[in-house]
Amino acid sequence: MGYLFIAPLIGVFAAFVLYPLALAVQFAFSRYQFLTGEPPRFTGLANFERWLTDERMLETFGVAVRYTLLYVPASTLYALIAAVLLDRVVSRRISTVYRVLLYLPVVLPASITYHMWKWIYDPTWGLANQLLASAGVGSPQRWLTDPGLALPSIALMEVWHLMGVTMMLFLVGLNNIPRELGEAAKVDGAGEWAVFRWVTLPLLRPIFMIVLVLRLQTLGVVTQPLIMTDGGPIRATTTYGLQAYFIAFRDTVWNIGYASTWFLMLGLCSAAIAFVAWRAMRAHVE
Amino acid sequence: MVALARPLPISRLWPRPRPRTVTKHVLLALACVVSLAPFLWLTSIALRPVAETYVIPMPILPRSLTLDNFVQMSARVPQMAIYYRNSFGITGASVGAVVMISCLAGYAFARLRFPGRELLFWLVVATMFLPSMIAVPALYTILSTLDLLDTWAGLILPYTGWYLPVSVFIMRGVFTTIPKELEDAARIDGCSPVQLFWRIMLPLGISGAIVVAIFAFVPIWGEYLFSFTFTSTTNAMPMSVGIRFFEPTPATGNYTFNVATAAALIMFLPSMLVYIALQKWFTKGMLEGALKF
Repeated sequence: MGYLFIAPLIGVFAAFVLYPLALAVQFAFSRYQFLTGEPPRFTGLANFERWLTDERMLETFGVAVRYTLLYVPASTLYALIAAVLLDRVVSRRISTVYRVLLYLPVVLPASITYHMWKWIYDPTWGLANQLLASAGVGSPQRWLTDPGLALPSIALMEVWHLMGVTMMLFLVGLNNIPRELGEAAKVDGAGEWAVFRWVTLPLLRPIFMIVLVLRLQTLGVVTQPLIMTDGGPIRATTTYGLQAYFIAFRDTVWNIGYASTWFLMLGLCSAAIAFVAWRAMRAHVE
Repeated sequence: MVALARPLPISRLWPRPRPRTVTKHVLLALACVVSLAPFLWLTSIALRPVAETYVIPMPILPRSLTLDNFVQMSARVPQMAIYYRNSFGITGASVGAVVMISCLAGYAFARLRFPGRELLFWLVVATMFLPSMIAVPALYTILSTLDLLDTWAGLILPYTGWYLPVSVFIMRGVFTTIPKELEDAARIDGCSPVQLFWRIMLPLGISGAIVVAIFAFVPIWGEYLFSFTFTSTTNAMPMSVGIRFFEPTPATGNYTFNVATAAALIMFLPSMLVYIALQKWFTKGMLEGALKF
């Protein structure tokens, strides 16, 4: 009986998740150039040797790391501040309004959001330069076409887009902290900041772990630069994942074998991060 | 999960100086403005005539409102209606499949006994953390072999597969919390397992199913990488990719910000309507889904 209930799950999952993953592993050990029409040919570790010495690997991994460093701390801090403030709003109705509005960007469709921000960053007609001009600060910026500015611009958009998720997680964490702890500390003469630093923050540690696991997936960022900059200007936003995508679908022969090696290493990296964090979290909870 | 009987906030016990409260609300209101600004900017351009857009400096608020840009959309990109139809069809079918399959499987993993149950469950859930992009090249070759490239099924099946793990995880959690006594009572009354699922468990798990539906709808509606890679024509291309053809190129005057923003606005609306209407479920799902690890 049980098998009957899970049959549809296993069918779709096996065919469109497990099988592609297995195939990707096979491709990673093969020479497979899709457009040449030749079937994949097993080449052992050749792809991995090439991957190790490919200068694009470290370069684009560096871009992904820089993106993560630009995005994760900023987004976490913004979300934490918003959550702490929101947690202190006494009126339930007002806090709901704030929460609904702050979470709104999260539900907007990703692709359309990225396109919208591409227009916002338009040097002549975009909102970003318009705001700079009306505030009277600085000169108009080439947000997405200045090599030094493109990556931070995309990270800024991401902070805007997903802050709500992190904020909600922090809100839950704050809600689960017994108020008496803060009160007790206050009676003992601790100031507002001391309570936050020594009572609230340590108790939020499990939430920080969850946020970290969710956010480290950012290392695989592809779609944002693909839509907004196509990896440019001068490869400034060609992240590791985007480079792998280009090897698979932009290369003259569609080098799916070698690209699978890139993706496999990314998958292993994600899985390792998730596993370590999961273990740490379990240990912490128990 | 959210503390139901929440003690009085500290602020009630020790009245704070007013300026602090004011600062708090000013900051929060500011953050809300930041969250809304891009969207309001987009709306204001979608609703204004072209003549009020290409002016330096561009006025923040339009002086006159028009729906002309929405009319212009189909004139500029005749395939537009087809992109929207594909978006609705593909997203609808995927979300429907995800909900149905995950309800069935969630129930089985929560309540039915069969060999390999735990192993299968963890095998499915383990893929939750894998970025779906690593399967894109392999999926491409599979869809190409099956002749499913550039078809609805070629997107619906991968979407369903990749959003199932999270959904199954949520639904198992939902069914686990339903009291066993209910089930026992029904069984004593002569309910068959199928009836039991259909008549008793499904109605009780409906709130979970709504959460699953929302959490599949949002990412699939705006998905880009799969649809960009696996579709190439109006056969199956959804609007999340089709929006590319509205890119404003003021130089030629062919496409304008006004038309592009109008097209984007139509894609935003379903998400926002679903969100506003089911706002409570979003919060509930966020809280329950994310913290059960």
